[in-house]
Amino acid sequence: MAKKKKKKGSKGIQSQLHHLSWDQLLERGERFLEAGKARDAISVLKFAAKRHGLTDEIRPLLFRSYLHRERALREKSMFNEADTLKKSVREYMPKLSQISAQDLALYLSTCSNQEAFDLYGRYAAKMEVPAPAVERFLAGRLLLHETWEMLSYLGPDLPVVKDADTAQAALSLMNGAEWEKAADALRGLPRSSPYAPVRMFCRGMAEFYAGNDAAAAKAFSMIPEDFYLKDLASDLEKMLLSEEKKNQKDLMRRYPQLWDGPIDIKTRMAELIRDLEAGRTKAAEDKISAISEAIFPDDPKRTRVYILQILRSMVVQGKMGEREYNRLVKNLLPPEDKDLLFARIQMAEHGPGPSSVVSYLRLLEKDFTDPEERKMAHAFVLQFVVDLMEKERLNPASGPNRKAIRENRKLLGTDGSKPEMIPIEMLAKAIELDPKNRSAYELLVRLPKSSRPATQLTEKLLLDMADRFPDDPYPCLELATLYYRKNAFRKAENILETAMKRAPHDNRVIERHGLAFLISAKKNIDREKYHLVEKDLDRAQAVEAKRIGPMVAEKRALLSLIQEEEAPDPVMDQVMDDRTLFEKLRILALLLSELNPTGPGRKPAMIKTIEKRFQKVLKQSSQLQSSEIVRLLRPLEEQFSMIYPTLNLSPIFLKYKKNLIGRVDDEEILFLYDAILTKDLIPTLRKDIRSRLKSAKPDHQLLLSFVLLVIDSISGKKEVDSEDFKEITDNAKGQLSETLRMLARRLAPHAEGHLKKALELFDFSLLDASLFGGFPPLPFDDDFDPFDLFDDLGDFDDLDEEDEFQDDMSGVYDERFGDILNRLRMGEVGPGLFLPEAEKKRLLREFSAIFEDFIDSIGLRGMPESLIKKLRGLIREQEGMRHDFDFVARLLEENRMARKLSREARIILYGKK
Amino acid sequence: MLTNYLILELSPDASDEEIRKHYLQKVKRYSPEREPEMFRRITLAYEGLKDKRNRVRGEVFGGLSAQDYDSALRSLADARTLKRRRAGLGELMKAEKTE
Repeated sequence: MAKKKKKKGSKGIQSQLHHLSWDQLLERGERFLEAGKARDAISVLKFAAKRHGLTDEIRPLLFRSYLHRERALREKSMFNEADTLKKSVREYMPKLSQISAQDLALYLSTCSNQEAFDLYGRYAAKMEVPAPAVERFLAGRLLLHETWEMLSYLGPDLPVVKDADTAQAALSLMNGAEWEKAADALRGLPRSSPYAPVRMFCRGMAEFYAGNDAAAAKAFSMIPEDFYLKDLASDLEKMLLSEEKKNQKDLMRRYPQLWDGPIDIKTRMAELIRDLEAGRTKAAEDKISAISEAIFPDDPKRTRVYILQILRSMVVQGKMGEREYNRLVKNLLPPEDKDLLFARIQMAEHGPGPSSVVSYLRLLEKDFTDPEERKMAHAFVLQFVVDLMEKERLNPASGPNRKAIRENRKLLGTDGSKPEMIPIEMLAKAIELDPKNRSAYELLVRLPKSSRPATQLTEKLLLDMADRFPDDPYPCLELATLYYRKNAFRKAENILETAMKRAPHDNRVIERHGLAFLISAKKNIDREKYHLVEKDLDRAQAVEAKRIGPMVAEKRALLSLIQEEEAPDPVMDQVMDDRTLFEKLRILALLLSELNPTGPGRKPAMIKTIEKRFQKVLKQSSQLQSSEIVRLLRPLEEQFSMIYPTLNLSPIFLKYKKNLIGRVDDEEILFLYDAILTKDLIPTLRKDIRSRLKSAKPDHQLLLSFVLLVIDSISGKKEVDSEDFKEITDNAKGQLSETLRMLARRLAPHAEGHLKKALELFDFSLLDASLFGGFPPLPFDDDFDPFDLFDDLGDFDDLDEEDEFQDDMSGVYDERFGDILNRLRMGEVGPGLFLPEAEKKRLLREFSAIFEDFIDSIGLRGMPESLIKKLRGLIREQEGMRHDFDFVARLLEENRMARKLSREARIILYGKK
Repeated sequence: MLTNYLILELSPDASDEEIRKHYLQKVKRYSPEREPEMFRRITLAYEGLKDKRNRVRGEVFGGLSAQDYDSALRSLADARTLKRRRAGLGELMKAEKTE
């Protein structure tokens, strides 16, 4: 069928041609050529030649047509057909003088080097002018094949010959990838030189290596279509400019020589994540190895370790089993690195306390070979543990920590003989290892210190810091605070003078200086040395620290009131004179916080007067901005704790004006709740939230609901689980989710146990975790799976058969517990074995402390009531334990100490909150 | 931690001076106006590495401090800068012919 069609087609064209004149035939042939229809052009022109003879007019046209047809066949990879057609090309080759430069260039592209140069040599000699397109083509041939001897066929004046030496020198630079030098070497060439496109290409490559992709692409785009480097230049141009990632990547893969590093690493990493999430551990293992090699070929093991560290969060989130993880680690790391990784994991996951870090500290030498770095790491780990213990309010002397301290005194820097000293001694060790570490000193200052040895050690360390950081006023300021607490006023003032010398313009120093005088004033008021107070207040005022102005005024008022030199109202009038509403309210609230009816010189009548004044001024609160109300309600900063009995003034404000909080704008309220949250204020805050929920926008409703849920859980009003939070978190996207996370972190310190952890990590699935939130450090081997210990999460029917449970319970029956019980029992037996009341109470307090530690250590804090009751049930099945607990529970009740126990302790001991 | 080294194109045993030098080169190339995201990453990486104490602290917990494994792994892949390797004309011509 095709053949018939063809015959019909060619017959069709021929039948049309019969009517055409010579000129028309030529014109039609040329038109076909211009349109790229070489085959049709050939038909027309051959017809013309047949009719009118192969004239000098037709011959060049036929020559050109065959050339174009030959090229078309080569482009279609029809090489045999093209070779056949080449004969026709030669057959119709006109005289040299009749060949155009373009046709010659096209013809030469079908010839061998020798043929091409020879023919051009003759052509140029005949035409006496060079053909730029041909010379460009020949220049390409020379550069491609480096057959410089071919130039002998050409006349010496031809540009391709004259510029050849320059080009040849540049070529060796180009092959050596010295593109910048090559571009320089070609700089002297004229624009008309046949080698000029090479210079453009070199410039493009130089820009590429300089990272100027746009300039490089532009240079590549300027290379002529007929130059031999055009295809390469086009590819590079597309690669640099392509906005389609896929195309760009494909081109990058075609030229891997241009890239140092893995081109498709992101794709491979995405595949790894998919494998891990689908549980295809073996495939993931192989990918981890390959990716590590690609990312960091110098040290792929380091990358494997790092990736495995990152993947640990999959285990924490329950997306990978412990067994799978252990297998990955075993297969990807040598034993030494495996041990190090698990020691790190233990440190990161197994709760606060020295016991979780000793394994890692023992391996520190292997992790940090540089001694200075090792010391820094050691110091950091100690600081980390102390920081966690302080945040979690952990008793470091309990449970497994006691044993860890006993066995690792040198590593931990403490012998554990005094519980309060443990964190301070550990920090002292950290400071000894890394004395320039500022943050250790800052943590030291935050630690509670009630004993003399604790204060003395802190003082020594701060004095060392003052020596080590001679320009820093911070240690001086903290020492001043410490001296004031010890009533060492002279020392405090001297050290503050030092601070002022070190940083006379530092606002912190100026304010602290003023504060120091206020502290002195307060102390003198407490000691009833009123004659000294006025001087202190004058000096405080002279410092001119803006923020403490109202405090100075308040203390003056307090002094006057205590001394009863004047009636309260005139005193208050004087103090309030020229004060803003904000300052008046602040002064009055501070005064009320100090006017304890049982304190020296405080009369109930006077307090009533101040309260009335306060209520009167409070009525004007509608004049206050939302931000001012927030500042009034927010707790004072820690530095004022030495001047006022409480930093949280919000209960005072809200006692007299509950709806004051309602005046705070929605934008500011969320981050006020956590700042003022106390047990007593919960009803007020709950009411405020409920009120706002009625008219809040959807996003704000979500945030308020979250806060309400947390507050209800903390207060015990509601037992929450992950589903309660899921309803909220699932509806929070983007920025809203971030705000929720922030809120959760801020509320976490008010919570305990699993809820606290869930809020810190923003992972509420932890609320559904098993009773034993963490596991004691155990050897990690292939067959170990902690979850094998429990068949069902939350189902404790099998617990009484589990060794795990027994071990934890036996921790309660340590020596001290047994001692306490024995002594308490002896006091009950009868005359002759009398136990003084004070001693009984002391023992009961000690028991309470141990019991609360036990509750913390098994992760019971914050757990739902139903679970705790189950544990109570299990305990009561042990006869000995039941008797002991009932005995102590009764004594606690009789001595009115039961109500001081935590919710969890009361449920275990009494079966109810 | 390793991500920080990769972002700044450093080896893990780089000195304070080398780290600072690389950081300055990078921020010169990725200015906050033209490449704000890259500038942010470079600055964060530098904060994590700028002195020995920071580096040691980063090493102690390493990747364990990542809470979002997906984001941490992708950041690691992103951090691996593809450097431009010097290639001569002959190499490029060979690659062009191979498809």
